[in-house]
Amino acid sequence: MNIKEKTVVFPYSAQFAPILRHREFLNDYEVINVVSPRGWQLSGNDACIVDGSESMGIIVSDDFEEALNLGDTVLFIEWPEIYDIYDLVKNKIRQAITSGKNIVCAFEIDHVFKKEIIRMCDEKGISFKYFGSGRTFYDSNNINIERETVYELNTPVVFVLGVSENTNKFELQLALRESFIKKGYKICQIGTRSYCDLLGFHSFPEFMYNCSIHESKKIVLFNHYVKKLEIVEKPDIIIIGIPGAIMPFNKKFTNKFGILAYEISSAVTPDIAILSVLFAEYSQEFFKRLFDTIKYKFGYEIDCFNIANTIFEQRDSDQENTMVFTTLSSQYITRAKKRFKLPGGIALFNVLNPGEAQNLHEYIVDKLANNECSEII
Amino acid sequence: MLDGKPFIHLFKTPGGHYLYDVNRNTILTITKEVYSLLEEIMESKVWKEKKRTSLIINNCTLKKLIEEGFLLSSHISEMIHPVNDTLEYYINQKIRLLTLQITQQCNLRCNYCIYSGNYVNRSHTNLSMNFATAKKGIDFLLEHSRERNFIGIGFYGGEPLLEFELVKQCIEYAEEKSEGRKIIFTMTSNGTLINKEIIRFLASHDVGLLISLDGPKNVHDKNRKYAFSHCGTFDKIMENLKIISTYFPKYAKKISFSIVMDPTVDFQCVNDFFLDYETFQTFGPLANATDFMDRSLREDHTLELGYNEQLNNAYNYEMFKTYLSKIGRLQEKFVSPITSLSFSKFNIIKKSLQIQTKVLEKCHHGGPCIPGIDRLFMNIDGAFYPCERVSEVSQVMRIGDVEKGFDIEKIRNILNIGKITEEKCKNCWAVRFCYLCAGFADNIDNFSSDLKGAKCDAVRRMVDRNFKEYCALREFGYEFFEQYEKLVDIV
Repeated sequence: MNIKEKTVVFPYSAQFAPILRHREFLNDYEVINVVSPRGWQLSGNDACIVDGSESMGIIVSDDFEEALNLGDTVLFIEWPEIYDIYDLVKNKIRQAITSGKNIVCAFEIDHVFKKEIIRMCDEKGISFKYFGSGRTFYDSNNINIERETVYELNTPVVFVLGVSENTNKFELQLALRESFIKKGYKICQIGTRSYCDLLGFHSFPEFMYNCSIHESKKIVLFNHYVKKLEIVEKPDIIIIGIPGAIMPFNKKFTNKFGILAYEISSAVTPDIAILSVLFAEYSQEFFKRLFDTIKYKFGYEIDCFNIANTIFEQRDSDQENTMVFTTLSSQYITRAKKRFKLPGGIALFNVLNPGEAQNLHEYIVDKLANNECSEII
Repeated sequence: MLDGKPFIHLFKTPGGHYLYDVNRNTILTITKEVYSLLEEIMESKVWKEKKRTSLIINNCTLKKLIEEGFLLSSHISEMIHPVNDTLEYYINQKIRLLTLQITQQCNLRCNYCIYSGNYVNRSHTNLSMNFATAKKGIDFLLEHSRERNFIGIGFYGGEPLLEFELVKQCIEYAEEKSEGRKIIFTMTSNGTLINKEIIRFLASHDVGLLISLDGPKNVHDKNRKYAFSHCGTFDKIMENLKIISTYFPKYAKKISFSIVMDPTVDFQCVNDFFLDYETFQTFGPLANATDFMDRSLREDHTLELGYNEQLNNAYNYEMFKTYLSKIGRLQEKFVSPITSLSFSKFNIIKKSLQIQTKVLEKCHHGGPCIPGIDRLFMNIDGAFYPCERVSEVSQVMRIGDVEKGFDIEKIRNILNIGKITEEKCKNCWAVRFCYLCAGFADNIDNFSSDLKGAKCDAVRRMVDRNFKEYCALREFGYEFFEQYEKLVDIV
């Protein structure tokens, strides 16, 4: 039996909440404490406070020193971009090393500080694992594609997409992982974050972010990457999370124009596509337009929607020049989503509602089963 | 086909004819002919004359507008604020700014002060907040602003520098408690008690300072006088500004000025003071220029209000020069810093004119903030109000206190203040651009639809004028595109 390291998480925020909810996937780490900066005022509250979900049975602390005494390892995790706490986190890392704790970094750190951590950990005889971006160096001159052919996949593929960030995409990915594994399926999964390896599945490949690789090459590379995984892992199902957003939100918040989503959609065609949207009072026509937009832009249909428990704040976003959101409770979404009418009987889910992850699983399995009724050989 | 009288507002400038479509929230240019036809439609006579109706409807431009979803007759079905249903999430986690009334004492007795006895409000007292209450307020802010990346704490009075030690304690406490957050501190001051020690502290904690200064000596000293000697305070403020610019030149850029415009003074005199006076070159920009507050006035007030033609003409002339500079016909150095402030209203109009795809149904008129969230004012006793401009004796405007927390139903009533004039608002073309909040309806024990309704004509006149000026500026080639400031120059 694998002995897990007793692990403290810092800084705890909504970014880590899906992982905490599905912490059984952290093969090597047992989360014993989640700590947030004092000023975030999360201390003493159930961990669900960060994302409006159901109780997780873990209380957030703001006492980093006390938490260090309890654990073997500190997992430093990415935090919402709106908080400027890089220097604070660096000091906490130094403090953790001085206390003799193993270090796991799951956010991007600068080269100079990384060298400092390595040196300090070596001196202390403790381990340092890095799961941030920039781990893998790709020399575009060495990437040789003889033919720009894309291959068909023989395994059902599920896409998880979002209209923007903060649409519960990672929760959807982990909920699907949990439900399929529980039912005995073998999954090959590519997640939207750079540290999915911590959870036992593939992080989003870094070559997709590499500026020196031509965009058309990236499409081919991604297709080949997934095809290779299919051959090697022989999964029953492939789940792919699409980082970022599918399209610009508006002219001010362009979400990198949904370029990644387009490239991935050109590389791989899904059998099931789940699109997560922010909360608003949508009309049926809205869902129809979104459905048609995806269909004509990416070439496949959305099979179901997920409604996130976050609202986009236009006025605050305009003032602060960054997308600003307000988090609602998942119970509010459960009540409110009854008002929505979707076209053509397309389903709408709220993955933060405990029962709905299972409903989503069954919906996908039914759809896949119907797709296999008659098959071209 | 038109299904009823279109919900639009027609207006014209010397250079063009326009319609504002309320449902689509868009201003459209139209021809003089179409303008006249629409005027006929709006006057309702045409509905009785079938022949005339069909002539009008067969006009090509009108047909095209109707086909594209303009000229709808829908009106608001219910006046309800968009965040009404989700209000609890805002009050629990989205407070942006806390203003602490550090003291009710002041060393000045300004004629137009809301605590001068001219307003239905408390008067000056010698009471101050204690640190225990201030701490609770700061804790409340931190606990109820989790979804804000940066928050503000403002220090207000009376004159907050009378309790400088308390201000220091508050800043140090807030900084200690706010690990991982960014707090922006601000202070409103009469500028008479400034010394090097105070400025050194404010500068080291990056406190934004707003100093009240109404103009040159004769103008400023008319209203802003010491409490006991009744002497003017201009000379002392100038002396203090000299200390700041000499010993703390970098911090001087964080200091801005607030003007209250006395309607009886010579506007040109005030304007020239801020335009030419060398001292202001080292400081920050003007922050705001306001008139005497004209709500919650006592009947026996002693303020000289009323229309001043000379001031109005002088102001409008300076505004005209501001517009000329925007269209490149006048150098900016000749433009009034006072009228330049009000030009920002056009960027707000531009941002607000977002074309809508669905008709008005449930909505609320413009004007109300989310009480206690955009700003939360806490008085010395820990009572909460939506802002510092509200009467502290008003029962309806008190939205809770630091011990018991927010009174959500009172907040909801203030948020949905449009309910008290719902029928009027539903039919008002300026509904999206209204600026009336609950403060205009505050009758101390209740909200008064009469008080609020009395302002409606003024609102419509202002919005109409703003639309005309906005369109006229565009006719002269001015483009309201803020994002040009960030344009990458790769040509």
